[in-house]
Amino acid sequence: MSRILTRLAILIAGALMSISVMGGAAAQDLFNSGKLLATGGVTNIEGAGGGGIATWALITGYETRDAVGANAHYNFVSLPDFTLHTTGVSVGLYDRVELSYSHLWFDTGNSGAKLGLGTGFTFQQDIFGLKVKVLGDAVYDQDSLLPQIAVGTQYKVTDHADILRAVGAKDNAGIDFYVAATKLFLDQSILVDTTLRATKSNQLGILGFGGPRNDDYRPEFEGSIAYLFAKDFAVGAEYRTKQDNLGFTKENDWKDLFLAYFVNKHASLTLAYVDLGTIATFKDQRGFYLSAQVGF
Amino acid sequence: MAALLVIVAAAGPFRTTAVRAEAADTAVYEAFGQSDGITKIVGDGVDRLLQDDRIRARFADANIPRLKRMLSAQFCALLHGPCKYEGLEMKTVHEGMSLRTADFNALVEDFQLAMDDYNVPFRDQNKLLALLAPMQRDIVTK
Repeated sequence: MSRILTRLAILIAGALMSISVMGGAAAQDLFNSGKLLATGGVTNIEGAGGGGIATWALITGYETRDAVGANAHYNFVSLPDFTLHTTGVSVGLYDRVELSYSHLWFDTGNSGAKLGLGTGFTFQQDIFGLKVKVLGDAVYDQDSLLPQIAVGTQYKVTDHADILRAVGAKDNAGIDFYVAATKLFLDQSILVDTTLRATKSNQLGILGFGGPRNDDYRPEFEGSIAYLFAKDFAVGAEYRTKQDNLGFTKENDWKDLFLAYFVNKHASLTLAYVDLGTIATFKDQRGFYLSAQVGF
Repeated sequence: MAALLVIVAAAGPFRTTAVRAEAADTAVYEAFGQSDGITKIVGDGVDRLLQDDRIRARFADANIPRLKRMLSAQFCALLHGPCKYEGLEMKTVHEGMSLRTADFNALVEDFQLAMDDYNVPFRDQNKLLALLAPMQRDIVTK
């Protein structure tokens, strides 16, 4: 099912890319890539428009308010005891609505054997996202302090529900709700995002939702600050608070330092140093994150 | 008397800020090479617009020398140079042109290249763009 979805998503992205590149005048208008470089953000770890670990209020893609944009992405996280990768597509409609689908693989590698799951045991997750810009404009409202505000939701479902329940998770699927506020302080060349997320997820939901310590929605914080030091380069830092619902393991807040390179409006690369704390009893999960995206 | 003191006390820090802001603003004006630099950058930017397939048609009937003069005066005044912009308001100028955000952004991109040509530091480029960005609301009508 998920493999089919992933392939379908990549096919759709490819088709959209072809139309946007080869299409006629009407298609060029609709797929205009008219946004300014970098102002669509990048595709984050959950497949949403944002930074690396934070979701922003920016709508993904390079479409303006009268056009449509789309991205396909591949993200890779290498940690001492685990490997995570994701791929998927996202569509930006009229710089107003963002739809995203991402498929995630969490490979336990050799740690799988130590956890009693078997070497190379992999959890997979589907993430469906919807984001709507409701207020403000991060780029043009430079004469006011009002940020661009978007509300969103993500439906996540992880496989191996039996194992997740066995380790204490209450559910293998869950829905997050968030409000994101993003502001570009252009005269300072700085972008700031703060996001509040209501969630029950354990490690993004990879380890399920809820647990013996808590099974209620609680607000969590995500924040990014980025300095644009050239048209095509940004450096920044992010922080994301996490819940600690499970009994068998601790869960820590996430942080990263990132560098994003916008090759052009059709490709970007993000490299980050991430500190994800303890994951499934394995401490000090610090490593690197690489994200590549293509789109228009 | 007490009220007066309050007003003076309140005005104090604001005055300091204003003086500081003015000094900083002049720095951006200097980074653009003053009035001469701005004229050259605007000339370069407008020449790029006229070569830009995305928006060149928008300028088919424009008086180009006047457009360059007006934009130079506007940018110079925005950066607190010794110039006055005496043209029409942005809303009036662009009324009925049915401009889109993509048109506005194409202009921004052409002027970014012009500013690069004249070695205006990226930070200073953004200070000018921050002053132009809110005009998008008046310029883009479609």
